Amino acid sequence: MLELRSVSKVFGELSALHQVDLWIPPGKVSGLIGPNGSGKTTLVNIITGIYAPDTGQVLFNGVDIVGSTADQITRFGVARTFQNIRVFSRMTVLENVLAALISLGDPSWRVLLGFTKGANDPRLNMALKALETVDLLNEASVVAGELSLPLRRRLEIARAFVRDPELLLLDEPAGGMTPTETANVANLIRNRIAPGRTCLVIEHKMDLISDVCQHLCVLNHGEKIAEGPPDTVLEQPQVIEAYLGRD
Amino acid sequence: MPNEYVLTIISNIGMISLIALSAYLLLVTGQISFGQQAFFGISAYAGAIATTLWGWPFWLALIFGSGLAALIAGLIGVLTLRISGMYFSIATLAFAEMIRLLLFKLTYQVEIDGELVGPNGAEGFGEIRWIFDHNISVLEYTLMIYAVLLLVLFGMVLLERSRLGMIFRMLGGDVLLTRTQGLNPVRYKIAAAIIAGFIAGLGGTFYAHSFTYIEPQIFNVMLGVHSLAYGLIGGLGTVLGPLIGVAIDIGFLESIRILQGYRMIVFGGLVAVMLIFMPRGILDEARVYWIKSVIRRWFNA
Amino acid sequence: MTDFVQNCIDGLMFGSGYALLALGFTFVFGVLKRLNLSFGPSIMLGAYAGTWVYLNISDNAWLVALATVIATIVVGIYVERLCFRAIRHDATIASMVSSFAIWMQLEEVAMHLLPERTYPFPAFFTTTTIEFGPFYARSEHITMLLLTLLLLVLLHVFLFRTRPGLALRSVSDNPLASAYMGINNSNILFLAFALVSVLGGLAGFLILSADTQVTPYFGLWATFKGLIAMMLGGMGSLPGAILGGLLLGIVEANAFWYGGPVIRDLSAYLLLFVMLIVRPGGLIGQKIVAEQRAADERV
Repeated sequence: MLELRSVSKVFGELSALHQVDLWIPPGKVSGLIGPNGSGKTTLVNIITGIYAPDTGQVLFNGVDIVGSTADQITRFGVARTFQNIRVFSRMTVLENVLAALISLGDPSWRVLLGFTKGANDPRLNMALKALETVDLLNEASVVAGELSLPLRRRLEIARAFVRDPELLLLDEPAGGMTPTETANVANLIRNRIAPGRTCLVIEHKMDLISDVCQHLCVLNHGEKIAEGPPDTVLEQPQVIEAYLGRD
Repeated sequence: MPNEYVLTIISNIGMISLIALSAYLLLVTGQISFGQQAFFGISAYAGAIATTLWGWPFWLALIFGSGLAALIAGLIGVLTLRISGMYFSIATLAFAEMIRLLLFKLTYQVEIDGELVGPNGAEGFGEIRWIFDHNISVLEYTLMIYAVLLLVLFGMVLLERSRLGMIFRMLGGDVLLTRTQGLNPVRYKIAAAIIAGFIAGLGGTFYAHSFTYIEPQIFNVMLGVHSLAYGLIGGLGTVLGPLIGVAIDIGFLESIRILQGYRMIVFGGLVAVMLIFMPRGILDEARVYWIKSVIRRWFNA
Repeated sequence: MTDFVQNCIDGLMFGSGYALLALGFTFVFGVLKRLNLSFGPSIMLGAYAGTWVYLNISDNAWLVALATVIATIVVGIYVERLCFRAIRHDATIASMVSSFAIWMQLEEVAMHLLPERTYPFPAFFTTTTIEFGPFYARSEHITMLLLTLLLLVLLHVFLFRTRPGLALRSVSDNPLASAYMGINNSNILFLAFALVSVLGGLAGFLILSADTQVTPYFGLWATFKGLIAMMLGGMGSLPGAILGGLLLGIVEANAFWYGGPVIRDLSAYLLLFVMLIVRPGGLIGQKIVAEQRAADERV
């Protein structure tokens, strides 16, 4: 499904990623973990085409997507949320989700000049269903900028999966949340989002990761230090050390 | 029958509304253009040349002038694709000044009825007499302007509800996020530039024929900043926003005798104050949603 | 060929005036990350104050210079309060548009204060022509060039060798961290504007005294020339401002010689336009643009 080969990225003098190999199995929830600054977000940005790696390949269903633009990659079937939450804050919740659906099916100008909220439009139904899944249906007409943090994250998630993407990347979906809220997000992902979909969750909160992930990759200082099923990985000494520091 | 003075003000409001809508459209897509006056001017000259020197009918000249403006606007849109923010704004400013200066160099005169007519550099372009030669009254001309303005408004309202309109607002919110929704901004930025250029052009041809005399100095930076300011004051949430801005300036400020000669001081100060307290204008997006929901509730009751 | 070289020399001379103006623009941008489009009219109002002093109080050139600088500072503070301090830190575009609107306001104020078309300005320098070979230069322009370079050096020393300069640099780099370290951002803002106003006032005084007159178009002119010169050199770069100003001067001098006043102004804008499209970072380079882009796209 998704494979990274020897991906490296340097920012000025900082080596963000060094020769990272990664394998994301289809149909499961994988986790990408590591302490802050380990290169997780850089990796996600490379996968989603925000910038290109200095070396290496990113193979999505066998095709190297390095050099493709972010919009192309989205159309290939990759969707994401953002660590510091990006929504169209001046548009309503419903409009934010509809926005994600515009490019579905590579729209012609005829489609572009059609109304966004036409009653018979299948996209409207898709958007409403997505909002229902994340429990945001009641807030459909609320301007996104007025939402609280947890609701905004849910909006991002709805926006990301409404296209039924092949690969769904969730970048720190529980960032800034209380333990209760984090548990809610975990439930949401485990029960409603993940089934039948390939997900990659980037987190540094262990509770969320152990709850939802079936496969883990661990980064530290831009290098991959472990990969495999959670119970095995989390017991490896280098992983524990990365998080807790050497005694 | 309203007197000519009032009609002139009303027709001015109509024409300036067009350039205000032009700047507003670009503002909505997140681009601050200091240069829409260039398209206003290009169309003014082109349209006036068409009727006065080539004997074309007015409506054809209108399409020609606006079309030419739109074409050049598209070209500028392509050239400025890679720059944004302040760089884009200054680039539009530079371009508009280039056009203004080029107009100083434009001399194209034709002999009609024994007289030399046509643009003559700094001396301007006078005798744009199509309306008078065809016995169109001020009232009729004002109605023509508003007919076109209403068409444009109708078009923009439709645009607002369309997916293209949503893409414009997305670009105005977050270009990177727009990309990650699978949309390549390039086509849409160029589309916005072309449409905005066309609308400004409509205003320009009308303007030339209304005032019967145009010179390069008219299409200067001040006109450009004003067109921006109208949307910023009136609000970026609806097409009514820039119209309100124009009405406040030309309808209100210009009409108050006491303010003669101080209009820019008041207007300039007003813009600055608005940018502090209401940076997206009186009718900003949030307020428009609120108004719409109130209306909806009222109708359902 | 002689013409061309002479034009270049003239260009360098004029260019130093542009460079001075550009220094003011680039300093505001470098420290505040914003563009002050009221810079020109602020200087013009300063110059009007100077001319008023010249006509009504004394024709001592130093006094006129002082009046010019002080008036520029006063107007500068007005612009700073209204267009910069009052606006959210990251709404950089809003400040630019606001300062543009205030430009309109200041122009009208100037028109009311001094309604005549042109006013005399004292000549600060004695005019002598210096000849070398087939070329010549006017002494006041050479003085201006030297003064510009001196100011650049002083500015550099201020920024890099003094405490307030350090504070300015840290605020421009990271305002939040600076606040945590006890640097008062408002004071720094004020200091930056005051400094820039001094630069502007001096620039205005020198340019106008070489010209011995001030017209109502000066505000517009100064803003455009300074803006173009700054962008040519690279926004936020002090040496860039000098290079940009000199480059603009050379291009304009030659354009004027071979084409006239309209071609001269046209060339200036064309140069700016092309530079923005091809190399927005200016002569100095893309680092500023890259930084801005990275900041916008911080994911």
